[in-house]
Amino acid sequence: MVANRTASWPHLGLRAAGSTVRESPLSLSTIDPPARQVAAPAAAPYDEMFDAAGATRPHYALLHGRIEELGPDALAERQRTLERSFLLQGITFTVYGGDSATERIIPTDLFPRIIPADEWARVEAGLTQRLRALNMFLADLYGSQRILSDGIIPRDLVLSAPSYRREMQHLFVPHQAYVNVCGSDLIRGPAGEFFVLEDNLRVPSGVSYMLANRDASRRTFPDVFRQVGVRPVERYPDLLLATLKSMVGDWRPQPQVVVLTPGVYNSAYYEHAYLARLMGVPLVEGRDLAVHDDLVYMRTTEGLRRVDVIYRRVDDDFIDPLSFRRDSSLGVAGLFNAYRSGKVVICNAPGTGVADDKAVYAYVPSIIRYYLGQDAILPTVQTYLCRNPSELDHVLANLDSLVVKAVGASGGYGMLVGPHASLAERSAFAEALKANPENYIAQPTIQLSTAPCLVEGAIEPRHVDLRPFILCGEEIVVTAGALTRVALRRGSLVVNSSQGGGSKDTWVLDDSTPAPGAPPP
Amino acid sequence: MLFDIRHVTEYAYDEPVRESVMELWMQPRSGQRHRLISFELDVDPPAQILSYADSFGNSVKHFDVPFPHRRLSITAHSVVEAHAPSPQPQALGMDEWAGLSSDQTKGDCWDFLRPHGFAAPTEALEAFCRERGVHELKSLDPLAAVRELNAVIYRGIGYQSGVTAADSPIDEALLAGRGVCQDFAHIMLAICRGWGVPARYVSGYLATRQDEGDRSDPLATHAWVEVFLPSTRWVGFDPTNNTAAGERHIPVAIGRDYSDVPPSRGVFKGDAESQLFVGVSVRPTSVAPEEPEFLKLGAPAIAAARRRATSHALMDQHYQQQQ
Amino acid sequence: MMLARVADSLYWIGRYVERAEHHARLLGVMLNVTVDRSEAAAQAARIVQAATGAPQESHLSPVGLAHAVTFDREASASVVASLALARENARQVRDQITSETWERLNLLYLRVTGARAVQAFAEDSPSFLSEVVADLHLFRGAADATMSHGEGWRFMQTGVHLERALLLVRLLKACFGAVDGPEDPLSRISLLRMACAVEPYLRAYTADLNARFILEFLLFDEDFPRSIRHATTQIHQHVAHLARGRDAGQCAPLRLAGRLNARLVYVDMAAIADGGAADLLSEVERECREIHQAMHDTFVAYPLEMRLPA
Repeated sequence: MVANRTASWPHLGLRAAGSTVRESPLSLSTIDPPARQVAAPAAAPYDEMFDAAGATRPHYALLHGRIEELGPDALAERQRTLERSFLLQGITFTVYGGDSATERIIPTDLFPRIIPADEWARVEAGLTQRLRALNMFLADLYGSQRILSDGIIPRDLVLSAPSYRREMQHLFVPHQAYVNVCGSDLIRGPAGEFFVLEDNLRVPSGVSYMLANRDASRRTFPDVFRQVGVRPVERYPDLLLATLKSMVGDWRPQPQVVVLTPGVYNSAYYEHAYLARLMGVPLVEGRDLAVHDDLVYMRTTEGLRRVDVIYRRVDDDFIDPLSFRRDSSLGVAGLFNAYRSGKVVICNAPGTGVADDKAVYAYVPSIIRYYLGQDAILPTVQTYLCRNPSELDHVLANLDSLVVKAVGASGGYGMLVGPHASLAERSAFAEALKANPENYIAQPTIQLSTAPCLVEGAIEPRHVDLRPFILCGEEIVVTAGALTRVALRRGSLVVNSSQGGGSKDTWVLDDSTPAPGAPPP
Repeated sequence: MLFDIRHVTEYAYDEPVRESVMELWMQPRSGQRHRLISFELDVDPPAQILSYADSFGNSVKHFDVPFPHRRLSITAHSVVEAHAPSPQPQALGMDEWAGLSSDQTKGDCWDFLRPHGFAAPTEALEAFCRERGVHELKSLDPLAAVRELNAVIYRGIGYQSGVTAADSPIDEALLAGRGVCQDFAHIMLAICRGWGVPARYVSGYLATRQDEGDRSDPLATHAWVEVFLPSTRWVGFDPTNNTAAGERHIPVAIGRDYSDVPPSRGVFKGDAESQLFVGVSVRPTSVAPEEPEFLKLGAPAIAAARRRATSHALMDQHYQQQQ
Repeated sequence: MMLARVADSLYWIGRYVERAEHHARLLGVMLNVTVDRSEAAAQAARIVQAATGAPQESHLSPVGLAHAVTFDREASASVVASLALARENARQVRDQITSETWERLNLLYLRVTGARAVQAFAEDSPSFLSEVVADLHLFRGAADATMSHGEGWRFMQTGVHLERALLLVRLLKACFGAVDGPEDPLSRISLLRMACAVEPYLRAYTADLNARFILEFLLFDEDFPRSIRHATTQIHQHVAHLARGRDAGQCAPLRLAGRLNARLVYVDMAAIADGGAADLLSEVERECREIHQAMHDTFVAYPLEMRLPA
């Protein structure tokens, strides 16, 4: 099959996505209201490169041309070069199985995904609005809780979430920037409109892949890169450093910033080291830090040195065995008390997870309206809260078309994709739902958009999402680029790297993009 | 009435430990009926004492000792002026139950209406309630029901220290039929919250009067329960001694259960067994605090603390049980 | 100023890469010599066994011995295990070493642990081993050329030279321990090869393969980078930089490194010529271990309360 496709390339190799999906046995529902869902015919997913008629979208024209020019052998060679360079740089995660641990690179696709300037402008405005509202929401939750007493969000839903940290109540957070680094997951619906699928407000990762992918795509398609006009992402590390420093008042003119990692065995360790290196700050583990009289120090070869800002890549639970999980050896005893007294800044603030809870997600449009008096620019996906009996009934009756997610879980675990699940899997999930309804939410199965990928020598559409990175200190900055995650298994909708996902670079075009259809030189 | 309270806590380690970090809930709360006149905290080895207010408004003291040490002793000395509460009404109307289910109460007392930690329903608790007719008490008005519950727990479970530990779930006391004030309080909290009556854990001191039938160990810290009723506000009950909380009950901290407000908790680095000694004296006094006198320590409260290895150092935490 | 843990890791990277290189070289020389079944061949195998610390009782063929000392992941002295440990340490301080340095080490690691490594070794072990040595030279070159020659680099260099001194002591003990060194010229040549010293020695002493000259050269030559004296001088120099501004009396590593270096610089050559080098070698070994401990106590695992900022 692979050889066959390769041989027929380029005339047939690059197909519009629609045809592929029609071949696939899956019936994917849309995000239409549930009543219509059953009857409605499955719409074709939006394809990033081809329009519905199968024609190349204008902003992809140059790239498409270049891909055809290069041909399969040259592309395969470039793919190999790319993978070698990732392995060499150590851009890997470790897979533990049996007695051995092997290091694998996150599968990386050669072809960049391209987003035109006008579409990005909307994404940027939407994300800025959303993060501003979510930070206000957090400040309120850990302050006077107006939104709860006004009955906008059920008190139980927020206060009973394990990610709600009452220790954070009434603490001062500069600029109300609880979330300093946010990585939201966006998807495109069938009509090409962007939805926010998830907010990651705790310790979002993936930004190192964005930077590494950019490095690779510049080398793979240098001419196209130059001609289409791509906005840079390379400033991310210094913007991050500036954001972190902005969290310290003037009383510490040269704040010492550190990155706190759980250690080399963490799957995102590469990223922690990468960011520390590019920011030029120490990468510390819990055992490198000590707290004395509410001041945080790191152990250096020349004695203890004061630490002012901790960009922590360790979950709330593990940062301080005195205040949080007592069996944690990843954190530092007394760290939270130092934070409480304002002697050190922890970024993101503890307790931000309550705002990216999958059940709170359903309320984000109300949150935006409540604090900003605006309608959400980026829509959210319709969400059924199984804690409400009527919604639970609906979910149980439509398990074959819904995606069910555990509220506390992340990374694609504890998730049922109804249309892809077996009868046995669905009935097992139904039992779990009935036993513990408040632990689950459900959403219509959304057809993620597709983008062309190089898969075993052939070019095929694969489903993708989009994870932009937003920084928030004194002000909010949306990085003009993103990590595009790819579901590498054909037809799969799960893009998480722990579940067979890969990634590709994302080119955000600047305003001076050449006119549509401009011929390749 | 003035009370002079001394509370000594001592940790002894069989090997030197270092980087001890401790938090203390030891400073009495000031409130309508209690006024803190003075509070002194001595720590040996000496350390800088810092403090903060936790989310329940308790004053938490904390400190750390970086250098190696084999013992750590903490002496809290408080003088508190206490006034007797106004007598409780014998009964309230049955419509008090309706007031409890108002949104106002549910919002204000959200924390104290939900099970938390050990103050949570279990099968053994359900069996206890069935056996002792606890469910029938709901036919009374809330105040009478809680008062009756206080007596049921008092009669149903004997007082004996050493049967349960600081981190024992209520089932241990329920199954053994014996326990200490912490267990009584947790059981009462779980039942009250099950009824929809906001109930909070109070850690504090009791000026015991064994001549009046107090069961509590006079040499230990104490714990009891406060319930919220719309027409009485917070009222205290002491299931250990079958009494309402009165002038002699001096509150230090309130929380959802013991784990929110242990008198002391901490971690250290080192590979050592630790022993914990606690002594408390509460004396009525009419004059300004005198020079502290020698206070004898009780028997070890924890014979052998738990030990746990971590990758780089041994960390341990230790609690004192409330009796 | 750098993190204590990072300094420790850099120091260990130095030690492990030196160990891997030295052992790879010993094995290469041994395999080369044992091609002919001379007495020198048997002796070379014995020396390698002793100098690498491979178990004495095992009666492995030279090839078997070479395979074990190359691949045995359990033994921390094996070439692959040393490289794996060096890389693991490098991964932990990835933010502190340059990409060029890291990639050299990572590439080598991927090669010797890759699926084809054992087969490549079986097909042509001398080439396999000499490539390991050559790759490690590239690693060192990348480190020297791209890393700042500041604290981190000096910790790594201290590790390299401390390990080198210890390995040389072990090699010399294996050759000169009981007797006056290898008797036949072939064995003497292999000893020089094992110390990577053939050409420098010949330039200094001509082709006069005198056991005493060889010992002198490997112990005391001032300029040859694999003499013990050169190693101790380097250790002293790097530790002096690390102890910057501190008095030797207050800084144990500096005091110990200075004393060891002086022992080599101001040695009584006549006494060595008469009585042999066994005592001196034991002294060097003991003091190297003391320096190792003192470095750890002073720079890495110091007690918190002693080093609070003023």
